[in-house]
Amino acid sequence: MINDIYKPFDNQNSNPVEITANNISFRYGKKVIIDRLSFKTTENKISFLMGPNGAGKTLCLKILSGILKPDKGKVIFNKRVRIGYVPQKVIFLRRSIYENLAFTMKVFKFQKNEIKKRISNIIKLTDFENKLSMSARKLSIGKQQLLAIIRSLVIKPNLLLLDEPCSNLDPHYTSIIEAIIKKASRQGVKVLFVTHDLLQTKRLADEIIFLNKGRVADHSEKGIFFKNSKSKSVRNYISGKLLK
Amino acid sequence: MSDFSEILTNSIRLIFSFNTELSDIVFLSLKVSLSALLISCLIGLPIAAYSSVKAFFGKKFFILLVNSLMGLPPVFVGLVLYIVFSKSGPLGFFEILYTPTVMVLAQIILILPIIISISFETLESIYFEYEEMLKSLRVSFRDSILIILWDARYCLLTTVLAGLGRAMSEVGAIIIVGGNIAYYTRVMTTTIALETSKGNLELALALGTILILISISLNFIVFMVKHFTKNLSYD
Repeated sequence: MINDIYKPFDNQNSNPVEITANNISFRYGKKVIIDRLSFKTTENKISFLMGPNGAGKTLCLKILSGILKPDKGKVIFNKRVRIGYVPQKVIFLRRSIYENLAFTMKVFKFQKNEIKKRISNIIKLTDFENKLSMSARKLSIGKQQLLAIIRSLVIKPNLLLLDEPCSNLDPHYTSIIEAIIKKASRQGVKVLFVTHDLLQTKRLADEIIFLNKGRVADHSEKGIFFKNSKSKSVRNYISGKLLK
Repeated sequence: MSDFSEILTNSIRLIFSFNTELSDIVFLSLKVSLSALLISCLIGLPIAAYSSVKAFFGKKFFILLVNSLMGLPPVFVGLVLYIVFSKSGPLGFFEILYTPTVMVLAQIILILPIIISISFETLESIYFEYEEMLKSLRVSFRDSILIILWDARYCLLTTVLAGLGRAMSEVGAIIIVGGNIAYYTRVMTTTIALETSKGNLELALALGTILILISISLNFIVFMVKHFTKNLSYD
């Protein structure tokens, strides 16, 4: 029953979402942030997007989620996607926890009784089950991050785009969020996760796409990425050297 | 000093005498100002919300213009409306000069920029917060407008109050277009101006006191609404 919470809306189709970024470019004014970026996620369920600050990870996620349109190139999905997006800076409506979750579901045309039922089920993953009428914006940072994950899952997404969802969190909340992500992935939800945390990458990632200066510097499976990457920038990044 | 205390005593007596002339003036003032406020909100809030959500050519100029219009001299507005609606004016055929209708119109012109400008700031800051989330969920333009208006409703009370304050205290425009006709277009502020010039300070002071009491009461109501809805606003 509890695993139903994680199932994507199209769970009859077991193939995970495949993301293809095709020659994407994006610039702010004259500055090129993403430069002819191309990659295709494999069947692996949890893909990580890594890279130094300013590499274009967040921007890439925003383009994949449809918030920003690329100047050139396009994003192709192998099937219809329903995206659960968690931004770096979590934002909630000036409403209660319940209303925030219900609003997201209403956007995706869930029925009223389904909204009530699903929220009462999914909120059991948190410890604020009895605080549904409380303002979402008054929760602690950790709880807000957790609620943002819950909000992204409540719509039964088949693709989760997560931008550093565990930044500034203590190990307790990090482990809760990681467990949720793993379970969702096992139920067929494709996850694309942006982080700087190498340990977290080792714990969760199946494959890593490494960006540097707006381009893909490396795209490999976790084992190869950490032990045997051909990319010098990846080796430098892992060893803590500043990338030029 | 004794003159002042006599005037004060008489004016208080006048307030509690429930004089028909006085109550008619107060009622008409409220009717004109609240009508102008309602219409201004119905026009101004959607314009402010649209401008907050939509990036359009000339947006900065539009906001600059609206901000500038907040300081529009009421006498000038009255003069322009007088020319436009006088018998020989381009819209003279409407025959609304010296009627409460044109007084409402004058007040709309004066308070609409206040409603748009202040609510735009509130709504723009909320949309700035929500934009990424609304776009990621692909919420429509129309729904985005409704969402920010709904979530800003308690903050917008202050805007509405500012608009009402401007309407209630207005005298320059409505004295020109209304003509200060007894029992027809005479409102509190214009009566205060007239009675003061005639030396009838008791009536002027009584109306002034009522005007201040209305203003304090409205502020108090808004304060209480905001206080009791603090938890509901989820800010």
